[in-house]
Amino acid sequence: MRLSIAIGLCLVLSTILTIDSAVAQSTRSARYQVQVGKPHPDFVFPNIQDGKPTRLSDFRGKKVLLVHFASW
Amino acid sequence: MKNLIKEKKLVMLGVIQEQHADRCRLFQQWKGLDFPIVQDALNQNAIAVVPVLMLIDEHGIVRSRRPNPRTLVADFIDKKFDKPASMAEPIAADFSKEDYWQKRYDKNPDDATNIIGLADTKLVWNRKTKKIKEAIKLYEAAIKKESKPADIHFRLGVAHRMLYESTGQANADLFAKAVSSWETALGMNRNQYIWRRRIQQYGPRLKKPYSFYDWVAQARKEIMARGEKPHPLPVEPNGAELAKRARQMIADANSKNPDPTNKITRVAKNMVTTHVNFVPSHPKPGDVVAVHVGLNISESGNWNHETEAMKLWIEKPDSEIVLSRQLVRDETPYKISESRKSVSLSFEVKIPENATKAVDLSAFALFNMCEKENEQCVFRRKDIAIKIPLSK
Repeated sequence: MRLSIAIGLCLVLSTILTIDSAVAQSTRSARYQVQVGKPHPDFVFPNIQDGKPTRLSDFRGKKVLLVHFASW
Repeated sequence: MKNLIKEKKLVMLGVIQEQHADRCRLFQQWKGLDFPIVQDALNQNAIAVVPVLMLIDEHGIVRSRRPNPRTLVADFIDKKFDKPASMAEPIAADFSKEDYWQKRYDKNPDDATNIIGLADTKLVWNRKTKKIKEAIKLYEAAIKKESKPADIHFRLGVAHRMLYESTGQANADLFAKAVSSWETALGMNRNQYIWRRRIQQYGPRLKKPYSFYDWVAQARKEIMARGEKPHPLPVEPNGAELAKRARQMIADANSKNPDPTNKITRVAKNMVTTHVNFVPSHPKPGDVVAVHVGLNISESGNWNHETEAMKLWIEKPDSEIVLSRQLVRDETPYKISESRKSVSLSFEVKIPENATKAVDLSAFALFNMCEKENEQCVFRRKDIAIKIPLSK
């Protein structure tokens, strides 16, 4: 999937995405196993703008569209 | 969807599977992405392909892994979700702190999770050379403790890549270790496309799904046209990272030897050293291999990028070996004229089907450089012997 597929278009493409194969053949731990109807495991990564920690749980109380993507 | 975000009915959070934060920033600037983006350089979320989208409700519950734009508002935005009996535990506030993992590690140094957690923290949140080296040792220790260490091999590859780039000097050993670690990881999990992309990023064009960073030049152009200054890239993508996908290997038949009479003065011994790497690391007969030639200049001199670009000429071998390019030019857009930063030049070689031993090639590089001792800037040649090891 190329970068030219802008984030906004990702939703349109959602019906053809093979998300089932995408998530979590995790060899590390079950915390990355994501299932509909179950809590999404929390994570923390650096924000690319300032490097500060950003957690998924920072968005608790809001409806979130989580997008995993790449620039290539 | 923009309206939903504007009306604060929806928040978008991006997780980018990218090795270089600065490249993420340039991409974000170019596309005008105004939502928060975080970087998962070690693939800690174990995403195997991109893009992946998920809808998560206000309680942190995954409501869809296949969002439908037609039903998004009715099925998600306007829907009230009940608070579940059990919620995901937010991770510890100091989860991203090295101290947190150091304490866990000190308590139980045999636990692979603690070892990897400590190493990850050093890489993700620190990135200093000393910390990268410590992380490498930890990953190596963790690999010995795990029966399925594929993801640790991937992390180890990332650590070696970071160390390789941290000094600004090419080190064949570090690059080779990065590629080898990624190859090992992928060998253990062939369906991990994020890992596969790391090898393809530096690999031959025939194996590429697309050019990985050809967008960088376009992004800069468009950003500058908007009157903005593009985010700088400390590590410029070059060579194989910019190369476009090819369907077949076409031999270079038009290039001309830039030193046909073999008269350009050789550079002084030890002034310039070369390191050669291959992706894949050990090709089989019939494979196409990307060859990366890195040149380092000693502290007694520096490159002079002010005049013509550095060139690499590869002698055409007598055998059935096919070269994608005989003449390679450094196309890095230098902002400063003098630098000691390592220069990398890449080309591709098709190994003959009947090859039985390592493939030997002769090459030479031509470059402008300045010598500190006599303050002279000169044009020099460096002869390079390339030996491509074959898979056993």
